[in-house]
Amino acid sequence: MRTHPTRSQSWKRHLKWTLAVPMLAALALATALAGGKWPLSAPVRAANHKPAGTDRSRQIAHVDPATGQLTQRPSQAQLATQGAVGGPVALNRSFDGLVEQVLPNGAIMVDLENRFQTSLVATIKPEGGYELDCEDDS
Amino acid sequence: MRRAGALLVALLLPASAGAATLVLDSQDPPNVGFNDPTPVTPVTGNSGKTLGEQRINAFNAAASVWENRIASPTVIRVSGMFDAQDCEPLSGTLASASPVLVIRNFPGEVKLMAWHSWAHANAVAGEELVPADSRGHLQVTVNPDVGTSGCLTTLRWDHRVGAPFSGNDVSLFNVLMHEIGHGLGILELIDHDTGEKFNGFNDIYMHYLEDHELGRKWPALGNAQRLNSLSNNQLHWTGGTMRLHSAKLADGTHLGSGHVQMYAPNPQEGSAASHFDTELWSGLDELMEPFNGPLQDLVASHHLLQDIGWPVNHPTVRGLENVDGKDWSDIAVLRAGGQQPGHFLRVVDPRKNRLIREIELPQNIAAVDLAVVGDHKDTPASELGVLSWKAKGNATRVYIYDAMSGERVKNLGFPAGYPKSILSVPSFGASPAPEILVFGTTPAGAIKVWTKDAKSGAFVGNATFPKGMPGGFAVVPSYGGSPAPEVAVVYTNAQNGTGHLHVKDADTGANLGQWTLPTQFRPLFVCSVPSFGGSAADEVAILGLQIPLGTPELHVVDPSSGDLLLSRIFLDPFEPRGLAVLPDFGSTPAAELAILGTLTRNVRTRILVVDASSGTVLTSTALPARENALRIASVPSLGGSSADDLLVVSTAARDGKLRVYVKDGRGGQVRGLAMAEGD
Repeated sequence: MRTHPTRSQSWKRHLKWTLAVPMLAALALATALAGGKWPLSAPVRAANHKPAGTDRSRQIAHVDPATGQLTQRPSQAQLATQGAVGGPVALNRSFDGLVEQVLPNGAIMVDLENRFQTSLVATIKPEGGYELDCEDDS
Repeated sequence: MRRAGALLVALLLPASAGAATLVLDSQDPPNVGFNDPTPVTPVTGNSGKTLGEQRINAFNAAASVWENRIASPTVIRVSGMFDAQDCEPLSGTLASASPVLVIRNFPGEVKLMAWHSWAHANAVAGEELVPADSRGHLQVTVNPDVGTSGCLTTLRWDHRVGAPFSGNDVSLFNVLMHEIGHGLGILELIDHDTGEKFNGFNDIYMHYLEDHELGRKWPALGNAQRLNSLSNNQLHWTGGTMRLHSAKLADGTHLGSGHVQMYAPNPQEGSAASHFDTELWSGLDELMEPFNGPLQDLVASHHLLQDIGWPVNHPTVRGLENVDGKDWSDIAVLRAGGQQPGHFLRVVDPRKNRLIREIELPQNIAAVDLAVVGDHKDTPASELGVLSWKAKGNATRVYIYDAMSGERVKNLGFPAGYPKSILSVPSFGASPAPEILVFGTTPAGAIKVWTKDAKSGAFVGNATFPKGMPGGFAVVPSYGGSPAPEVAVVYTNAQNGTGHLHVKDADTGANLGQWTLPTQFRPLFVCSVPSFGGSAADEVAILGLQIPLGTPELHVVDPSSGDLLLSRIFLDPFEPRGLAVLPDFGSTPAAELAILGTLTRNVRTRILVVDASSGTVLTSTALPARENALRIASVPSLGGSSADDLLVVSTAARDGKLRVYVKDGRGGQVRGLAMAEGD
């Protein structure tokens, strides 16, 4: 395993380390210290790296049932309408029709009636694998 | 979509007991879903021999992860079923979830008249608020058709537990963990078309959402403003607990405030606001991001739940003297985040894992940390100081117990705020009683170390540090002139984002040094190390992350001079979980440092012991797979050898148990002590 024994010899009080440590880091990387099981000299993970299959580039296509054309995401009102004619009632974040009930202790509750669901959606990628997207009802 | 008809079979299957209990209330009929009798081969982490058994095991494992993070005095029932979801060959729903009810105006609610999810409201109220309703508190529906000809054709459910998933396997365990999180209350309830509040009232979650562009929280926004903030990429989580810990996140944090970025993409997406931003990174992927990678953590989710008032657990272990006079020295184990069951402070003989004393704690507190307080009672045993916090009013208290008798000997109030950790040192005040130091932030974000006399409760010190993201604090033996020790605080400055080591006298608060840490280094943990650098002052070891790369770094500094004595960069990324110091046993005169970290590449936790002056790795020990190690402490030898020992407290995804691992500081195997539940 590589070790990195760097000891400051002449650093004075109030000395800022803004330049020194990146140099030390570069030195550590360059010399690729080795030995032991951990840590290993594996490639450093970039902060913004996401594992394959987790990018957020996925777009959801919505087709207008009347025209067959791609359209923008339907509104909640539209979804609610679809639910009213037999579509997925659960796809709903509307309060419409929900009822407040007063409990004996004075608390107020509302049965969500399967609304406000979150759904984890998988999409298979053309190159293989899949990506996940968690969506709220909307 | 097939609707589940009458409840034909109900399984009440308690997941492994934690501080909360989640049970699966299966809505599946016989031979379907959780009851599917199809024979299968056991897989990693899942010994079920039928498909139904493996599904139940995956549920119980996912539930146990949450059980060890939250606390609830009432059982949380999860209505679970396998039922067809919207699905096509290339895209489809894997699972969905929601709370069944929401409740407001109940006793003890965290924010007045705010909607809470049912399970959350029960946990806060301490009782079942809707006793006549036998439905689950949350519901989770899983799509059984995944992998069939018409539904996500090439994918298949993976029933392994805790194993990284890849390729075309979809981890049922991970999917259930995520969806249960939403059902527990990680969601907001506004109308995503209009921005309207749920029937005109705030929900508890939105109290902590802020449109940072406007600088205002959601309850204060108009409908149009709220709607706009769903898609302006300026949505922040502002809760105090999150800000206390957000330094751990390598990305997705706002330096000036410690706020955490929430998902609010443009154009608006359905997953906005109820998830963290996709760029949030805690070493591993955060479970409650909208797009999940294979390796996940709950660091941010845990703090979010605490912010909204869920009683949460921060298990802690400390070493004690030999309280019972038998065998080895003893240990104290704390897991408390609400009420019984699973809410305990125990004194345990680690040799035989024998319970010596169970100490009764107050109800409805979140116990944040534990300290051994020098004895000031008329028994031979030390006292134990439990640092606690309540969401309502941000009330901070330290409860002090005699470790032998279990008697509560003191109850100290501290200023309202967000406490993070506690230490105790011998008296430097007027009375001979030890002092209690509490590290945390004020509601306004200032970093503080408050010090009180453990016996009188009088303030004996009050050190204030600049606003920023707190890392940790350590006590360094006095070198500044006064007899009181020094407090060394590490934090990331809110103004410029740089890490700082700031040293003040514990009683006077006098400034003894403020050092800028290496560029882009964000400090997370700190401990004092016996001097080896030439000066009279002990050294300070600091473990943190290099931002934005997220690589862990260890630095050792002489706090009296600012000299940097060691910089060690770890090239195999891990998520730092703790830092402790051990007496020297290496080839140099310097002490050793024990680092607890979870490797990013395989989610395995290791204890790494390095020499404090050279950075040489002396030992490296792995914990068993699927352990979520939380804290590390070093203690004088418990009795197994002459060397000091290391204690690690951990919860396991594989069985949900809280364990304390004991390891000889010089090497050797770790020994796991499972903490029995509910006894």
